Amino acid sequence: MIEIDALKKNWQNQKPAAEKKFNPEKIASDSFIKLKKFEKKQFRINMGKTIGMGLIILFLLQTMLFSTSFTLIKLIGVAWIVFSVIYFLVVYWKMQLKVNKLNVDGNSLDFIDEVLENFAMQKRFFKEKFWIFGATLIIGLNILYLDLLKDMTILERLGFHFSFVVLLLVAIWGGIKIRMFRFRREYDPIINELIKIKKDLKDNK
Amino acid sequence: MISPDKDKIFTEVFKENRDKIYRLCYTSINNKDDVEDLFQEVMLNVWRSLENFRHESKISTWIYRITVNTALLYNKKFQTKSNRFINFGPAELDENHSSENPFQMSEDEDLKKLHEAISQLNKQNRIIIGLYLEDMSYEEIAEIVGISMNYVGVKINRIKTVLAGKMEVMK
Repeated sequence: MIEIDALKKNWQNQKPAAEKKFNPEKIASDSFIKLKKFEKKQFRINMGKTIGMGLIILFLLQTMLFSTSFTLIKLIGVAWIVFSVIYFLVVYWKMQLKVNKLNVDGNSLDFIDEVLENFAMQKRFFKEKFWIFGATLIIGLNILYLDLLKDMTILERLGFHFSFVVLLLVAIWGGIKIRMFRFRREYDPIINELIKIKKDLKDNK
Repeated sequence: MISPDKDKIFTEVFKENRDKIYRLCYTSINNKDDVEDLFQEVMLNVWRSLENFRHESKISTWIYRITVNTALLYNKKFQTKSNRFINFGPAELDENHSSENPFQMSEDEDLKKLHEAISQLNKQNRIIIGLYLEDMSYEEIAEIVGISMNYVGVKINRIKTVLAGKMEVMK
């Protein structure tokens, strides 16, 4: 019978090939320089995104405030839509799974619980909260159309309002279905694996 | 933690623990092509979590916790393309990256069999035996995984029996 303990020493002597060729000091310093470059690049990317987003908002605000055809109702409608889109984008972005935002240095069982809770939260967001987002868009668009369609007859206006609402509801429903499909395809395998690991570890805790 | 301290600690941690972390990454996942990606992700998580280190446990235990948790969650799909450009190693290897696998593991026959046998275990058992082979005590493994010390002992004995059996068959 093979004694696993007898292999421990040899096991610990295994080194990546680079370790045999290069001095550990050099490996550490080169890796550190790369890490610093990586951090700087990440910072620049995030800064670029923030500036880009800011410029788009500024452009929209400028267009709204200085356009002569812009009435107060249109302004309220567009502002409502823009702010609800921004709000939901921020909430969605903050909810994304980022390992470094989790308690990655905690014990594995607690970590698995935290990850599963994060996934459950994302699922809830799309199943429940996304409809609220849809409702805010519908309200914003209807406010906008109150002004845009003001020269039409009441029947035409109702027809347009109704069509927009139905169209948006279908789009939201489709969006949720697609997102849930992608979520299941991408995350269900890892969620199932984590649940299995948790069960195996917890059953005999 | 102020930045110069963080830099210094990270470099020390990297120098002291690189091999161990790499071996644990190698043990944790079955697709050996992904070991480098996982190792890189572990090092990034160590760097980003360094401010949270409270000296309540040994730094090696703390790093292993990060390694194990990163390995548990490791999935290529989660990685963004921008996360993939660091090759944690000497700059010379970047130029000759395709000519040699910088992380070739042991040629020893027994160790090859051990690697092969470990790769047939489930993820949690691969991680537990990986920690045990690095000479972690039952107490430390229990602290890392979050289970009782007794259960660690039971599990390790079971895994060792399974591994020995598998290696016998390979002879």
